[in-house]
Amino acid sequence: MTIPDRNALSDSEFRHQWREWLSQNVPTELKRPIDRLRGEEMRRWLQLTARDGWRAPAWPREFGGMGLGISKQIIFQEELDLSGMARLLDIGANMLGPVLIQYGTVAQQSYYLPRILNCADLWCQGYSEPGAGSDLASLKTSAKRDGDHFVINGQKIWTTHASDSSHIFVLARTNTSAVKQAGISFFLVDIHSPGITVRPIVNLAGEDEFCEVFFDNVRVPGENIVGEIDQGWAVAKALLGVERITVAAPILPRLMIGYIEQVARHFDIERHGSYRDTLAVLLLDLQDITALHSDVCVLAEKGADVGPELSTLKIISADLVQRAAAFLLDIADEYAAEGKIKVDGREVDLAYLYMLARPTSIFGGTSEVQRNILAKSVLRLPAS
Amino acid sequence: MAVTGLGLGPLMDDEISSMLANSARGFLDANHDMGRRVRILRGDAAGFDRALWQEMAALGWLAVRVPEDRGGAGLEPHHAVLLARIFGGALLNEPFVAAGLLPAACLTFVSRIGIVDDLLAQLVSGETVFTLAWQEHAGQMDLGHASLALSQEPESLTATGEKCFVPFATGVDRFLITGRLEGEFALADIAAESNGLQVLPGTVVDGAPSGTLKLNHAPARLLAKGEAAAQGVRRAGLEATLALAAELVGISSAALDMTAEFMRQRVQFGKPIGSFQALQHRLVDFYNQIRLSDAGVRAAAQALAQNTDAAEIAVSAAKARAGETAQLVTAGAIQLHGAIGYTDEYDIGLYLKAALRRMSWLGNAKRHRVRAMELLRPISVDHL
Repeated sequence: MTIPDRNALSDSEFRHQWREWLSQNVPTELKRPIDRLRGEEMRRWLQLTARDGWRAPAWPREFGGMGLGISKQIIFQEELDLSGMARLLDIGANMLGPVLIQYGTVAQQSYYLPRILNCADLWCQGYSEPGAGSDLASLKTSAKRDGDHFVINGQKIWTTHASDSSHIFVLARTNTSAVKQAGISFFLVDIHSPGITVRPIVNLAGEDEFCEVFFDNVRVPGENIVGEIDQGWAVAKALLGVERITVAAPILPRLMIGYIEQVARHFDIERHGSYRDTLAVLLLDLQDITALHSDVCVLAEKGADVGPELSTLKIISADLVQRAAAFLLDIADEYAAEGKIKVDGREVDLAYLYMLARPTSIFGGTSEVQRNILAKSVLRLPAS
Repeated sequence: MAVTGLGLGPLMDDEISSMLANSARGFLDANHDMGRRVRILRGDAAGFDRALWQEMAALGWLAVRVPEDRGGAGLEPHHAVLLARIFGGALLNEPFVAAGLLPAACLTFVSRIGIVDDLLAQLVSGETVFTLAWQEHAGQMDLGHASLALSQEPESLTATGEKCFVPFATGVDRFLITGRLEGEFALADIAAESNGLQVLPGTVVDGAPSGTLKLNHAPARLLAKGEAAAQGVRRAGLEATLALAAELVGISSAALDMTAEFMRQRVQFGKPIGSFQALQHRLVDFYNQIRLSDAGVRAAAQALAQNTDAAEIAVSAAKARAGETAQLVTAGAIQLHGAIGYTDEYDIGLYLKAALRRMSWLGNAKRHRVRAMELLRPISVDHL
């Protein structure tokens, strides 16, 4: 099928067409904005978007993506949020795809990219380890050459959606003599390979989204290295590129504030001055973060390095969602501990929402690590 | 050298912005020895230098937002914002907002009759210095409301009543004054040296002059009246409020740069204090708030240019954020400097005082948040 060139549309026409498509195609059962789709449910949704050429907005068209410029990628995400659709963690299209397009061999591209698009493969990211969280470069999982294969041993942790994935990309040490960033390689691994064990971990929100992944003499063909051997750190860092910008929009804070307003109506406190004062702070924070996000998009479109801005956005969005979640509990009085309340006939799980806010300042580099990055890169303060 | 990325941002990289920024910086380098001028002019009745004011007029800065067909430069809100940010960061004594943008915008927006155009020409040429006297009590937010009595007497129009918190009251030649005439809002012009006008001198925290006007049948000239005039003055107030927010961003950003430089140099416990993580993180939090303020100001400038309904919310949001950030950053900067920061001799304290003046004028952060909230969620409020 030929994918229509939607990048050629005007922004408003593009928005209109996408909104129209969403209104006709988002199934009612997926209209649960705070939830995150996984496994089969995510696969079915992504296949539906692929059927009509609404898949992989950031990929160039020659690789089967939509080839959208940044402003249209933003519109794409905005309309998706407005549709009330559940959230997605589309690691294959958002993270791995762009890396393969930049660093992959022709063989890797022609095999894996179509399988990401049609969801034959679902990917997860094997980075963190028990001893390598914020200090990722100290990772210990090893990959030793054995003929034209590598043998991987070690353990990954906090691997989101590993139990729903068919594949995992893994950072492993191929050289122990070099400085720690220099001896790492980037592998593409079938998660069903002999020697891999996936164990889900239940988090404070009661979900088993993230997992431990154990590697016990897992054999991986050498052709599955992306980029040069020992140069995987550069490949991994490329994941922090432009594709991360659209997902830096403050979606979770906006949803959380939406719940605050629902619950305030439910308890009939929306006219209280003290409630309004706090809500005003949160709403204006959201407004300015949204403005900063759109500035960052414009900057990125002009080719600027927006790495520092993404750190800023990550810190302040996490802070906002956590303050909003705390306020949600505040206005619920004793119901904060009860956890669940019924609002307009629908259940709102306060405890779940509060817990959902916790990891935003931890995953993808903690807020403290982001501050270290900014202290060095923007404020040019001396190393501690 | 600014490290905060607040030079020319994504919306300000047009050629006019670059030219404005270059000429403003050139002007400051040649004429404004900051620490010396700020200290010399403290408590001075005029509070600024007429010769420099003339030069600013000659460079077209007083007319930056006056349309071309009325003898102005006809530039956009973001150009005025850019100048305000640079002048704010330099603690320029000359009242760019109080005697430039605000009265010029009033004259621009209220009417086009001959007398108004004459005054506008005098203002933008720098010959005659004006300020707007609108306020009648503390905490007032609506520039389009006044109760000072304007009455038509046989000889002329006269003004009777009081105006407070009039910036640079002892330094200007004429006042634009708001009042009520025959039950309607009106704007009048009155000479500083008028019979029946008494200017009670005062000084605000950073040493700039401010005064109270007592008027008793002081002769005045009518410039405009009715709802359109009130709307014109309100609109001028939005422009000035946004420019003040931009000055505050400039101040915060300059204080941050000075503090970062201090932290690189100052050695304690055998290391530059900028290498201590606790201090780095405080400075990064300041930076993040400045980045947010900057985004809010840009968004408001855009909304004002497009004259959208959201402009008023955006301007209030920007002033609230910029004021609160300036207080956080300039007071925090003193803490990070330690005892030297608390001396009058060292320049960091000048930023705090400059920020305090601008934070409280034209609505403080709390007032603007309440205002934004009234517009965002317009329901009646119970005060508990």
